[in-house]
Amino acid sequence: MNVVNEKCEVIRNERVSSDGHILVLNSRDISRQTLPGQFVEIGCYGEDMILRRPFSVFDVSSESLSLFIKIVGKGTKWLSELNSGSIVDLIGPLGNGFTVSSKSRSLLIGGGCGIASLNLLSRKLFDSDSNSDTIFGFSKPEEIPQEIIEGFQKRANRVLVTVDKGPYPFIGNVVDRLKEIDRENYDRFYCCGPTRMLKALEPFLCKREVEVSLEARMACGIGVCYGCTISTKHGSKRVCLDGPVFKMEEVEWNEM
Amino acid sequence: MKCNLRTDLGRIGILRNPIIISSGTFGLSKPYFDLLESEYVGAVVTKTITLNPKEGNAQPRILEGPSSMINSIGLENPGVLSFIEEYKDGYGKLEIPVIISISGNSVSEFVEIADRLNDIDGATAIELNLSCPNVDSEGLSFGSSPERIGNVVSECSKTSKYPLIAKLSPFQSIDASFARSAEMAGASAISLINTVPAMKIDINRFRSALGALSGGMSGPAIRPIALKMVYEISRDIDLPIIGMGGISNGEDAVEFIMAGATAISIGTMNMIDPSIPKSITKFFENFMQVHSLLDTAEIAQRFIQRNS
Repeated sequence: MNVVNEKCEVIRNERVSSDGHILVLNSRDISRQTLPGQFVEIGCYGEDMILRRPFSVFDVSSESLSLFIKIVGKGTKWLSELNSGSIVDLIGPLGNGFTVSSKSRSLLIGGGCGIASLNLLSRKLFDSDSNSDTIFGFSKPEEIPQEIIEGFQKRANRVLVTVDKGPYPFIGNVVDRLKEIDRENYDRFYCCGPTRMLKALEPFLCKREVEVSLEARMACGIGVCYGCTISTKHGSKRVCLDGPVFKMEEVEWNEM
Repeated sequence: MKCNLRTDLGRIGILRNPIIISSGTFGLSKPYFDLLESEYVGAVVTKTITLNPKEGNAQPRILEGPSSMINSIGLENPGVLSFIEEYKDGYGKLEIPVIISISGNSVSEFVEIADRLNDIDGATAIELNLSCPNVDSEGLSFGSSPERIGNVVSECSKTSKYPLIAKLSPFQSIDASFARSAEMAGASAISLINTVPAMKIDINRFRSALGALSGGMSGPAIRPIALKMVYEISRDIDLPIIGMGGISNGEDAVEFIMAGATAISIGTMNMIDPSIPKSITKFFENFMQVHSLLDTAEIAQRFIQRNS
């Protein structure tokens, strides 16, 4: 697998929630190589921005690659306003990705834009005859990307959604929903979301087979600058190069 | 007409082209190498190596500002002994000249690192990162006076088998006194400018937006300032100057050569697009052809002719 720089045309830019967009890009070189949990670095050339932005790959086909963009700042705002036909500059695929095992029973836990890498993962698990259930947490009901959740429902036995603040049938965080579930039903757990969420999950999932995908601020995304390092049981690691997926037990959560 | 990009850095030697990759923005990771087209690179500078391993600063280490970036990596590195151990199978295998960047908390630390690096064969030069904010026994920050810079350079040149490059911070580039002091003490070239000390405050949390209190600013925003410093200092000293600060493309690179740099170095923008050396090379070739220039030295000469 080689990391490549690909100029991609925007095929579609679709708003899927109050602050979420799905950006579908024309891609062959990157899309055909991408594994679940891997990410791309996308150039944002609006105004005075210089750094690329890292995004987990949401979905791929042989001719396209899509990203879930949650608007949080200038770069994501710029991306959310791209029209079809615009050209963007991508580097990828980057990072290690999740371990996909066939015929497993998995629980996927995501928060916010963590839904992106879990989407591609859930598709691959489904294709490998693995059962997966899902828990998603969002801050507010309007942030729930309903269509994407429906996609998960087609592939999973059970999809639980929770929001921090209602009105919604279930108010709470992903830990609250995890407590309702018999964890013994699963042999693998995959988590992706804000560090604070992953940290909160840790006491409930320790001693199990858990892979976490970490979010980090990055400058290069290609293992050069050491801007995204974290402490692990095996020393300092770069999220962009050694991750973004780590075994939960490997991460020094106290130092996160 | 074939234009000549060969770059004469005096005692350091001749590079195949004037494009250098700055310290902290070059690495041996596979994704970077997949994207780098190394035949367009004149030399690379390693991450700064210190005597002992350094863990670096707390997160966050990176912030983006208008056309700029502030980093507070904190010189995370494995220390000189591990560096030497890994050199042979890493940097030593590159087909690009390697400049080793070092930093110390005291003159004796610089000298000890330089001494240990004599065990390495085949490197091109040592770059002294003199922007270290640490304070030594006399309570002054390292680069605070030209005499102290001269002291580090002269002690290291007594010890090291390699030619030395003094890398100056913007504060050491305000006038030529620091560069002149490094020249007198035996430096073979001057690099300028290092990142600009900078900070960003998270007003809602009443604390620094970086893990550390402050960091170093780089990127296109600092480029005109760096250019002026290269211009001024190159007029005052005879050593070759490696000019850097926000260079993003061929136009920027040519500007630095006109201002008096013998070679140019790309840092932040190289991390965003590792293929920049190729586009800069192509730009140089085209520019020199259009203006009937035979080598990069002629670019600078023509600028001087038109501005004297």
